[in-house]
Amino acid sequence: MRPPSHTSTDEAREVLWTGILGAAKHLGKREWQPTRRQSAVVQLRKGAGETPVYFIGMGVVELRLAQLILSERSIFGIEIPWPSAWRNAAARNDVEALPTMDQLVAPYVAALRVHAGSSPCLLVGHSFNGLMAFHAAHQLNEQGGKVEMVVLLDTETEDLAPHQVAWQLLQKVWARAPDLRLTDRTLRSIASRLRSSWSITRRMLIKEMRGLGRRIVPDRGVLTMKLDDLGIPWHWGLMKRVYSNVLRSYRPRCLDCRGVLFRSESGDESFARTLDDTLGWSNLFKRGLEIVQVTGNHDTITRPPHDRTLARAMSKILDRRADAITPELERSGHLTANPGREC
Amino acid sequence: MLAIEKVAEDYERTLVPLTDDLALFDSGLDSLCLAALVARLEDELMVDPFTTSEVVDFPVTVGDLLALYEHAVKYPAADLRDETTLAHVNG
Repeated sequence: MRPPSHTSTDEAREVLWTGILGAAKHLGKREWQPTRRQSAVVQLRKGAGETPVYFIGMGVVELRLAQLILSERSIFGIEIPWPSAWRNAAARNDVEALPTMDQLVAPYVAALRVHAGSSPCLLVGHSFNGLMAFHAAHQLNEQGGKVEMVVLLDTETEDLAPHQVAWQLLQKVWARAPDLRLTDRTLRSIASRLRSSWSITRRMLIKEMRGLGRRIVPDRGVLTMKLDDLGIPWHWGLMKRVYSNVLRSYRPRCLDCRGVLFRSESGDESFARTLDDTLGWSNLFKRGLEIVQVTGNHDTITRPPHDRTLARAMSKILDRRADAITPELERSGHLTANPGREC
Repeated sequence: MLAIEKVAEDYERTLVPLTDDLALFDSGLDSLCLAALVARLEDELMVDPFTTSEVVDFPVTVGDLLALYEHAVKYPAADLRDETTLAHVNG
């Protein structure tokens, strides 16, 4: 066997392979014997003594990104197995037994407190993990930590139901009252709005029907690499129930640090995204929000070839001084400075 | 190599050209594909090199993975931790 790569540690590889082997046993319908308990925080990239970066959630995506990022900072991943009781609750759809955001984030914060102490740090999370990073930053700061920046990789603040998105879009379309004089222009305007409304309603109906189908025919979805405390991998459908339940009660509040949102290109999600370019983050960072447009959609921004674009953009952000949003960055094509609003 | 290609096909992933030195996580397979590959190899070869020994150097490259399975197939009952045993088996 070759010596370990200089960019990842044995520990990170062990965590990843533990997930892979757990899923392999599950796929092969064989008994899985959990390995010894691993540490929650693993180093993904060794760096200089600068403020370290912590990924909330750790998998191949985070390891690859850490390898591709050209920054002097040390990069760590935090992976916490979820209690098997949560999985059972998700399978039964027992919402009372599912975790709240506080409960979900608490073990990550505990691991961060032990590892980072009161030293400054940066938190990163992809998709829902971004929301967890944001809430973890709140908890850590309240407990004496110092989160300087939260990096959100295509994270939305809420998961609007299709009919909610459709209703808001229709309100936008019809916000301006049409001119009641029946001119050609008025007729064209009404026709155009009716076309838009039909398109919005059709898309909403399709999405709602898909959602209804999933509720009627329970689908556990694909297997993921997220393990429970018995070493058994979670199915995506059950994880989604946990996320949806958290989002029902979670309301993000203003955080005293900088925020950077890496936003994917419009894909299927554009339906909801037309409502808010900031994906709901516009007034949640006291020290400003920067939005960086990257290539790929929500799922592919972290996969080849888009992961290289994302890593390049992240490198620039990570190695930049807090107050240095330079004209070159703004001119560089995919970087957009957006100071956000005070909250 | 065939098993890897089959898994990539099943999961609709695009593989980069495979070489011994290629890092597994750069191959185009994600962790779920690697899990499917391990399950498939266990079915086909009837060995699980990861539980043959308590101490396993997890593979980094395609070559590492191949070597791990080649060894497990060749010496299914050998205790990989015991260098004396291995030396004896190797003659």
